[in-house]
Amino acid sequence: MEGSDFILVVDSSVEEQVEELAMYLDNLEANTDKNVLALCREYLASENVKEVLNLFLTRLPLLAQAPEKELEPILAVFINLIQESAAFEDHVSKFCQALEQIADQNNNLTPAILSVLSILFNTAVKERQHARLSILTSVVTLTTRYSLFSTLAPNLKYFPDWLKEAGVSVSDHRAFNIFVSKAIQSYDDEQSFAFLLEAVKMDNSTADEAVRELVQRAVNSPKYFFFDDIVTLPPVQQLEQSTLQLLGILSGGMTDDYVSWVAENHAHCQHQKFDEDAIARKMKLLTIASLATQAPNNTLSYGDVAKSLKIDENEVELWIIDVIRAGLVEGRMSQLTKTLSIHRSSYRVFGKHEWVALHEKLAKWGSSLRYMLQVMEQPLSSFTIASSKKGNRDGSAVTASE
Amino acid sequence: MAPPQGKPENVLRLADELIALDQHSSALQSLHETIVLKRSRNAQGFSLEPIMMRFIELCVHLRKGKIAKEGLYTYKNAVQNTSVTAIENVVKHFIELANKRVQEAQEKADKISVEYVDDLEATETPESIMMSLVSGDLSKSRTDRALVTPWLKFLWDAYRTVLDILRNNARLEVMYQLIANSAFQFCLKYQRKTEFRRLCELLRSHLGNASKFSNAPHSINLNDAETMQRHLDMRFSQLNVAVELELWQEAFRSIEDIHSLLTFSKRAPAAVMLGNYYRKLIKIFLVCDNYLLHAAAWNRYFTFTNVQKPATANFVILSALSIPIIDANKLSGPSIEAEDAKSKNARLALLLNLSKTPTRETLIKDAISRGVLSFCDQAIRDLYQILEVEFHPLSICKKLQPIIKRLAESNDTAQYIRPLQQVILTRLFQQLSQVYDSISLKYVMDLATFEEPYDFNPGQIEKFIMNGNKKGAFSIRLNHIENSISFSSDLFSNPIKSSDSVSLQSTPSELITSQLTRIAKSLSSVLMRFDTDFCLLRKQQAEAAYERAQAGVEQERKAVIAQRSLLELRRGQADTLATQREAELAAQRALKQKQESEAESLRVQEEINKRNAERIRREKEAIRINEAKKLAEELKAKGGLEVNAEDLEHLDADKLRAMQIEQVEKQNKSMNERLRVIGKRIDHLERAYRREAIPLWEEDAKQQAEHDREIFYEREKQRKEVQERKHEQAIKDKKAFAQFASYIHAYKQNIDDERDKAYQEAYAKAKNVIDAERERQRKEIFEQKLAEAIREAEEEAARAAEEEANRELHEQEEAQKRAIEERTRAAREAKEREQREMAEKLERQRRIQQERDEEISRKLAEKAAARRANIGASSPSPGAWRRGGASAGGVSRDSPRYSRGGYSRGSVPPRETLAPSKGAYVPPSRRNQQQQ
Repeated sequence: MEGSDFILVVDSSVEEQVEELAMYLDNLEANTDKNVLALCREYLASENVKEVLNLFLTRLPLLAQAPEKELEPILAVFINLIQESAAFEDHVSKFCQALEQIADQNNNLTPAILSVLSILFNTAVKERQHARLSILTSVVTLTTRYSLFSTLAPNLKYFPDWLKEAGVSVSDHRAFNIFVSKAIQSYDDEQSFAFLLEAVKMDNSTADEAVRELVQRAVNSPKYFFFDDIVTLPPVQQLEQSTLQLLGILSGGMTDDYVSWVAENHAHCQHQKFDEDAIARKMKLLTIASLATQAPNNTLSYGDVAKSLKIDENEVELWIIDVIRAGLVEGRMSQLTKTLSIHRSSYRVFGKHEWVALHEKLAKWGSSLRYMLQVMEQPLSSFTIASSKKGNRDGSAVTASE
Repeated sequence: MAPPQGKPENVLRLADELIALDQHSSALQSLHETIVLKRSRNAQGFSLEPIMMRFIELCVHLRKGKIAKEGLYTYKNAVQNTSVTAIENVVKHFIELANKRVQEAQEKADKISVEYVDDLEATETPESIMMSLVSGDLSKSRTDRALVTPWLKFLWDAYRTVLDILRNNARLEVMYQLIANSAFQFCLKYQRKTEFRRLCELLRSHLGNASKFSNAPHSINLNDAETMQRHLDMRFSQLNVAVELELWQEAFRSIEDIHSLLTFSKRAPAAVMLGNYYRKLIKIFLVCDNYLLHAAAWNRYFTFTNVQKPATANFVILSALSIPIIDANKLSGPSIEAEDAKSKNARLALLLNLSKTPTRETLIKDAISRGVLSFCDQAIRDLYQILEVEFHPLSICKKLQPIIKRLAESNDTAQYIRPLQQVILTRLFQQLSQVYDSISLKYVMDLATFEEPYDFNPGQIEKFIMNGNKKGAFSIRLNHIENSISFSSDLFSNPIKSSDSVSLQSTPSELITSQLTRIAKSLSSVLMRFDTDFCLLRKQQAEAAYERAQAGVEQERKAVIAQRSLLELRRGQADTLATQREAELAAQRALKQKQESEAESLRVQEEINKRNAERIRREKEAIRINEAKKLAEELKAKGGLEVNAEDLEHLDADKLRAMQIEQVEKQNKSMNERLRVIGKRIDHLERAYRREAIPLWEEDAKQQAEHDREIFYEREKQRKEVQERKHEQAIKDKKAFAQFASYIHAYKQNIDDERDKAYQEAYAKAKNVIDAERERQRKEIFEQKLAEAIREAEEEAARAAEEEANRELHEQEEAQKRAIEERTRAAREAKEREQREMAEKLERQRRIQQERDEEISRKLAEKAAARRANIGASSPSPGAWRRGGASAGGVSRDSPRYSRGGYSRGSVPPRETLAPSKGAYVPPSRRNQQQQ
């Protein structure tokens, strides 16, 4: 065919394909009228391909009763016919709706339908790429409706590039992201949140329901601990002052700050559906993380944790395990000395003070490495115990730097 | 009296009459003889069956198992070819009667428990008999027990006999199965465990024989579907009874039998049968404490039934979760035993038709992936979540306590609590080791708290920890001084492999190996976040590369096509060149090969010729060497020819002979030459010796004369001395004899005096007496004279002897002298002859020398004469005469000496008589003899 950059292997003419499909539809038991072939011949006589396609689109739901192994070939014939359409995008949209109807009637056919959609997606190239938006919408709808998310998950990361190539408008892309976020939330909350975040980032002027939902989910999620990305977004800045204060506390505040804020904003929490207990728990974990970053000699005592969190010492270990589980801190507890030996901790805010500390550590590390290099450049015969001791000290310094 | 042989009806009637007369033994004997004797006649089954029925009844009545067995065997052999139903009827009747008698006996002893008897085949011991006699109270019980046990034994023997008769016969297969099932029920009803084992062994043996003797007539065809199904049914019945009797080992063997039959059979077994198979395996593995295969059996069962039941799903997950994480083999030590356990599990896994040994991980993962969890109860799902997904070491036991309580409510699930607790404790310590360096021992004991009756005491928990350390699942140290537990934090230790547990964070040993990776990832993420230019640059580079690729794709495609064409062209050219080169090389190779083949042919021919020549030469050489050796030996034996053995290889007969001749001539020549030289030297030496010896000879003659004279004088002197000594001795003797004579005279005088007195007295008396006296005197005088005469004669004889001795001595001396003179004369004559010969030689030499001197002087004279002729003088003549005179004078001086010497010796003959050896010359070799 002219103007096509893909190849569909067909060995018959358009008329023959139309007849084949029409006869197949007429032979289905569910087809009571059995007039598809006659009508097609009538339309073909007047060379009205559009009407033929429209007729087929109204009859395709009948294929819900077809054997699974015959569904894909017969729909492939229709895919080939649809390439002739002048209104390709519109017909693709209707075709997707028809496929969804078939899946609704017989959900056992969903894998085959997904395969057909895949073929259709690959035929939408160049000026027809915009139709991919409809196809992807159907794919997401079907996979999330019939518990086939595992087949969809590997392809989620390609959605932005595909839609960009398809020339979808920003508003349509944003709407699609919001749709995907809602659809996959029950399967992969993390991916869902990512799509929602991308949607919010696409529009800097609107503070709509999507923005509020983003903040609400970020605040209530037990796994989300870093709010720098959200606080700096322009749409978030347009929210209420109370919400911004809460985000500020979550970014760099302590438990006491949160307790004060909650005392003044109970009504706002209820209105915005903020989970006070979840946020309180999160604040405690973040507080321990902050204490860990400031602990001298990388050792944090149970007493300090208990005092900051206003809890008993016998509850400290539970909280420490939760902090480790959250990935904020890595270390091991020593119950005999009632301390936590910290191996790694996370900074909630990285400002000037943190940069200065980092500079000092790197400088110390650099000097240790230079001294080690000097020691190694010396001849082996002059290696002495003093050098060994210095080497040990350098090792300790390196460990401390790490 | 033997019963009369006749028609079967008559035999039967006779037996009935005997039974009526209460003579059962006689009836039995009659029927038995009839059955045995009828074998040869090959009677029909229908005619013998009534007799067999009656026979069986009598055997059962009299409890004669062996006779029944013999009769049944004979009957089967006689009838099996014609009527199978007859055998079945008789056998069935036999079993029914035996069963009935057992029930009747048991009714009599309903109050007695038959379980006291463990082994029916063991007879009563003397102790039991004595006890029955002693214990009066138990007499009734013993009697009642005696009624039941023998019938049980009889029934068991009946079953064995019947099964033995019916085995390995296609026609009797159905009956065989019925009897086997009936035997199973017998074992189950009366709890006969030992008999059940024997029954299983019997059936197994029968099946083995069926496979072994598959060519026998009426043998079982195991490939037949119905036959296989029948055997499987039998084995499943066996399995069910084994499980109910709780004979787990026998049940396991039944499982193996079933598996063998299923493997042997090519058809798929019935679904119900396979389900039963898996259910029994589930139970057997549980009893064996093999939780791994127990869970695998549940998994297979769930897959097989395809029935989505919550109960089955619960057990699938529960059994999988109950598999111990730490190896449950308590005896495991070195890897050998671990390997044995692994191979054993692999073998057991075959019973479940598993291609490889399952593990706890694979079973759980498989169940989860197939959605088994969705059919489980909430408690099971929570159990899975807490054990396998979540990380809550401080509350894991507390959370699981309600679930354990729930499981304890049912007997089916309660059996999993103990192994499940082991898993819970394992998870507890695994999770604690991830977040703790050290922890209080009391705290751990509080964490591991369970409600009774499933609680642990501190010792058990400590033992559990030690076991985990030994198996390598933990790395925990207990410090009883501080009452604490320490978890290993060595940076360079091998990480403990616990891939199936939830990992909250890395262990120190894992951190040390992934340090650089973590740093690289962190730096990369920081760079991506803060250096936006870097990101843009990378993106721009990627886009630029893509644009370049897209822009240049057509040009690149053309270039590729062109390059491909060029490559094809060059390849063609190269192929052409290669072909040509190959052709040339082939031609050259062919030519070279031809040349080489020709050269080879020539070389081979030359080689052959050379080899032949060499062979001929070698043979000739061998012959020559042999001849040479023989000749050498011969010559060596004969002529003493010395031939070096090493040189024999290079010799031949001619050379040897020439060598011999040469050697002989050489030897002769050398010997002659040597002789000549020696002779010459000896001649010269001898002449010199003799010339020098002449004065010595004269001197020696003088000395010899003097020596002879001295000897003579000494000899004379000695003779005188001898004579003087003899004289003196004679004188001494005379003196001695004189003394003796005086004594004799004195003695005689005394005697004469006395006799004179007596004479005179007697003369006076009588004349006769005087005459007698006178006669006596005359005799005495005669004797005296006689004595003197004897003495004189003796002296004379001595003197004569002495003179004779002297004379003889003198004669000997004379003879010696004469001998010496003869020898001297002979020597002198020889000497004279030698001297004469030497003189002649000397004369001859002198004459030759004289002639030579005369010649020389003549020549000189001639010269001088010639010179004097010029002058003219005659003075040289006197000079010549003078020299000639001198020579003659020398010779004269020598000759007269010898002559004078001869004459001088000849002129002294008279000395010989006086001194015979004085003037004679005796060679030095003879002087000693003379002196001796």
